[in-house]
Amino acid sequence: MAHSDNGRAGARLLQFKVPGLPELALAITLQEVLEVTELGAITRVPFAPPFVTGLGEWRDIMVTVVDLADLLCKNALQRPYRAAGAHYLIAKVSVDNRLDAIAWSIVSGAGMVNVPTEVPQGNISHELLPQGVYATVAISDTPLTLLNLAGIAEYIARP
Amino acid sequence: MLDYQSSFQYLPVDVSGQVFAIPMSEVAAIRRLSDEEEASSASGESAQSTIPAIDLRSLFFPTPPGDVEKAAYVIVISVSQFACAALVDGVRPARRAEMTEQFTMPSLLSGERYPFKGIIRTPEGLLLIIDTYRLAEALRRARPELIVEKAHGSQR
Repeated sequence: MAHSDNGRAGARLLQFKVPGLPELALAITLQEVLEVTELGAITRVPFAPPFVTGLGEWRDIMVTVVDLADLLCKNALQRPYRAAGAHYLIAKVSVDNRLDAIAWSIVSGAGMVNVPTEVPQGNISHELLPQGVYATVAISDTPLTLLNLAGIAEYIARP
Repeated sequence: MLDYQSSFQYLPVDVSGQVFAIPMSEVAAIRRLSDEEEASSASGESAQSTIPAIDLRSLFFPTPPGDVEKAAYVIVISVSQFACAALVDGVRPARRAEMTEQFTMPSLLSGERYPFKGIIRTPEGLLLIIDTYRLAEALRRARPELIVEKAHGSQR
């Protein structure tokens, strides 16, 4: 393990897990989080990549809804299309200098964590989309995968 | 950006259980298929030309042959240079979309691959506005036999 500044040292993160990847703890910075909430009906979008669930609406903003497990990992577990009452993490992303919003379903148990200024860095799983991940760090001996939302947005726009 | 600067009228059409919007200004004709007509041989007519119809249901939501029910309507679409015909499951009464109900596509879903130019928010949900020009252009490249080039002077 190496100690490194992965761009997230000292940051406050939202830690969460997603359906389909129950063993993987993921995180984004709090600055990227817009809200964790329920979404109404999701509209399918023809010609979208398979990991795009569709379009949702959040506070007068059109949100691209994705299946994050499918996007990140080809070996994600099979699961129901959409669980009733599911909560979605809505995050802001920038695409070609335009602000946009994406959302994905999360399982219960999300919480905030502080990243120490010195944090041991681990290996990124080879099963994960490389441009979707900044780093894996160990916080309290628990591996935490830090997502690269810019890379994820780029992959959605140009899969 | 949407082309529309104000409210506009659109035709809601049912495609495989989802409703889409076609701008009324681009709808040249609507024809209900008779019980005897097979979707595969359906066609539209525009300016004395017969146009083969593209099945929007299999184009938008590919499904195994045989799983698609019989189409009910043919919509003849007329855009600046082309005309094409689209098979759909159903047609609803035309509606007006006010400016406050119109949204641009998210930048993540607005590339060339998406033949949609915006979204209309309705009480029943979000409707994607079909970009008929982009659809016709894509079809012209992939299936030129499905597109009729309009003769000079016949543009709407």
